[in-house]
Amino acid sequence: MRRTVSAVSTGFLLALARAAWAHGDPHELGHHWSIGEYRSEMWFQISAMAFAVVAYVLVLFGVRAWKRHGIQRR
Amino acid sequence: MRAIWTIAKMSLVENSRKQVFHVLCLLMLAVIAGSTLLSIFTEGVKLKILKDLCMTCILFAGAMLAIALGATGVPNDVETRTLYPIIARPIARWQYVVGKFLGTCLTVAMGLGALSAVFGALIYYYQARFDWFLPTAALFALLEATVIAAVATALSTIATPAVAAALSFMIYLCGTIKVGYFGGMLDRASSGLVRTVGTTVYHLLPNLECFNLKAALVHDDAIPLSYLVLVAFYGVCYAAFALGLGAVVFKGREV
Repeated sequence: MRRTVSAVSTGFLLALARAAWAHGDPHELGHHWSIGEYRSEMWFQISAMAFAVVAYVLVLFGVRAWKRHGIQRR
Repeated sequence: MRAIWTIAKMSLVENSRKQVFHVLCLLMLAVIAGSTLLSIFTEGVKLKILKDLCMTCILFAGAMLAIALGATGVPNDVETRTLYPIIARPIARWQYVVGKFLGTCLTVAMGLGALSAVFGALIYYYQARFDWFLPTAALFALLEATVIAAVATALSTIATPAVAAALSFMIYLCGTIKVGYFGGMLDRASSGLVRTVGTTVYHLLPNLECFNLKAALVHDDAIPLSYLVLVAFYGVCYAAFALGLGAVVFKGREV
């Protein structure tokens, strides 16, 4: 029983330490800084967030201007 | 700014008294201490595994603390009605949300600081010199926790603590395998609808893999400074965006 428990716990700890055993492939090694996909995805998300913020601010200003225009007409 | 800081301090005190904070920190400290018992390996391999395990613990503890504390902060205040005297004062709702988020981040930083200090001491003991990349790796682990805390806080403004925590945990899991596995699965998808929905979810998820600098620490690899700056900028942008979204939703919510 004790041997099984120690084998399972050692296996679990070694599975966690995957990067220590990895060789060659940057994906397997977890070397995301040398994979272009990570950079491009980050830039895409930053651009999308900037676009969403600009769109929100423009809509907010548009609604305010429209309300003000409505009040002045009345 | 003073209002935000006051709420952050209150949140820090409240969070640091929670059981989940103490239990998680002690559990991770036990795992870090336990990883020194791997005596069947040679010194070099042992050190690599020690670094790997300790960084995994730090990343996991940061994420769990951010979820557990971030997802419960706002709903608990609504439930216990401590929110009402706060919002009755001249404090904007976005200030309250940002204060809560900062309090969560400070608590997580305290926990990760303790874990990193023990980790650094262990490395110094085994290596006989300090690993100067460790503070950078720990800072990026904190940045990952900050992003998760922002998502959890934003979700907690519209959902119950259980739902917010479960959703945050799912986002954390999917975010950590985003480009590596999720991207590959999307490439293999044959249905157009699955691919469209999958691509939308893919681009909405935070890219949490890039905050994990464990491999560089284990293998003593150099990471380009431009990449680190980009990751830091991305983390700050994503956290600010998620928090902004939460603040906008909370502003219109009836409490």
